[in-house]
Amino acid sequence: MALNLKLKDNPVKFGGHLGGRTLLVVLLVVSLILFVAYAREGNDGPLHSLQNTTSGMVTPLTAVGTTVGSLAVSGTMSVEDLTAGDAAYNQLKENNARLSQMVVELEEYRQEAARLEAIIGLADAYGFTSVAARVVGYSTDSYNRSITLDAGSAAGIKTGMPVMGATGVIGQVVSTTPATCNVRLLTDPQSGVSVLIQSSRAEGILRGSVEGTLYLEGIEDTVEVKEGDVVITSGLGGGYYRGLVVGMITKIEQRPGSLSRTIVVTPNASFNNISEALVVIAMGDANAADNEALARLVNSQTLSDRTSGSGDQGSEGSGEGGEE
Amino acid sequence: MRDKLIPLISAAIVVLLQIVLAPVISIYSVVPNFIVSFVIVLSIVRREDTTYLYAFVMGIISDLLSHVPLGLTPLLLLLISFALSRVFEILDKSSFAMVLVSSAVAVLVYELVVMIVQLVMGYPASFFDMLVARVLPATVFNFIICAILYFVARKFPDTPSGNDAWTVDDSQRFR
Repeated sequence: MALNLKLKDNPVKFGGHLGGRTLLVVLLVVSLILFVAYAREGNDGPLHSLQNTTSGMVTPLTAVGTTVGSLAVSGTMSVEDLTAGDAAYNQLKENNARLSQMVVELEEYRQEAARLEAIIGLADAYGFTSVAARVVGYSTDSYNRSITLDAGSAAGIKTGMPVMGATGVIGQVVSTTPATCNVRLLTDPQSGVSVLIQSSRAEGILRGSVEGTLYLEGIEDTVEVKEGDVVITSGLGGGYYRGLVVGMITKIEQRPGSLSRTIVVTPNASFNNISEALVVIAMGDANAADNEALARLVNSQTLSDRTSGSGDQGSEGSGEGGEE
Repeated sequence: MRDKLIPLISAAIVVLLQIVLAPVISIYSVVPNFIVSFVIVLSIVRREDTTYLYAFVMGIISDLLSHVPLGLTPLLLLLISFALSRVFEILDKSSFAMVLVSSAVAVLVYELVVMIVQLVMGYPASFFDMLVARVLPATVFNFIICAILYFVARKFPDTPSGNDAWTVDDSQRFR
């Protein structure tokens, strides 16, 4: 019987009404004050810090779950690998041969680039220093796609540093404790990265979404965009360094009659079962490299001016550089 | 003593599940909330203890473990706990159907309000996307946990069969 009719005959005493209601009101007021204070303070406020500290403190416990989860996924993958057919084996063999060939070619290009950089004295803009860390926790709510790493401010990690997976950028550090850091993944709707398309050098913003898809926004309609174009970080806006591989354009949708288009980017790095990551703590400064090249250009121009006797109006700084 | 210890130990186990298990069993980024489900079931089953304190403390713990605005979950759980206690003055809590319907509504209300607050605070997504991708899956997920927790709670012999929502003990203190 759905209705508790017994109570109709024997009404519930409300003797605790005052005490219960007082308790309820007090707790509601405290909750409301906490909520308002949290909403009004910044990300560095005491309540946010308390939240981050708590997340850091329970890391050993979350690590247990993460390890068990990783083992389960690894087990499933092992079973899939064992039961894979000849077709999959042959496909992998072909891929392996093709990739080996590509590695040889790329090594040639790398060495050639290094020689050319040495000739013109250009600094390596894309070498980076990183801290390796294990994933010890995943997001504990549905509104944030994040992971927790077992390296924090004690290892030199700061808020805003980019984080790389095995094959590309996976996110950015949003908070740190001495022993851990929280990384917001690229697929989080609150994530936004300034990127450029490698082939056309067109710049845009890569944003995550609720469903986890990455959308490239802000690309001008006149720019030709093709599926397969590689997307890298542009380094604009701070945070992400320039030249980190993000992913590849896999889908371009343009509604009939509409000028705007939707560009979908598939990330290079896998976001499933991430177990290790690299936090990029320093990188060859691309701007510094550009400035160096510019300085050399100015110096050579000054030298040619001097030799042609057209004047000595070169700056003192560049003059010194020229003498070097 | 046992009546007070069982919910206390259950609460500790639920917090542990939230920390260790919940992030691992998330589906499409929807993470179940054992703590919210526990408080809802506790509000329905209502042992001889103060569910408001449980709602508040467990809500604070839930917010501290996640990145939901601190204070939002205890606020909602307190209101839900109050509403459920009033509802089950009329409804029969021994009816499985009534409990399921009430817990489903309570979970849906919780998820909806959290979503609306997130959107108001600037979460970059549309209402419809959030409803489809977050609120509805999370409601189903947490509702299943509520059903499991209620099923487990009924196994305890101390679960009261009647409504003791507003009764007082000999000391005249609200339970």
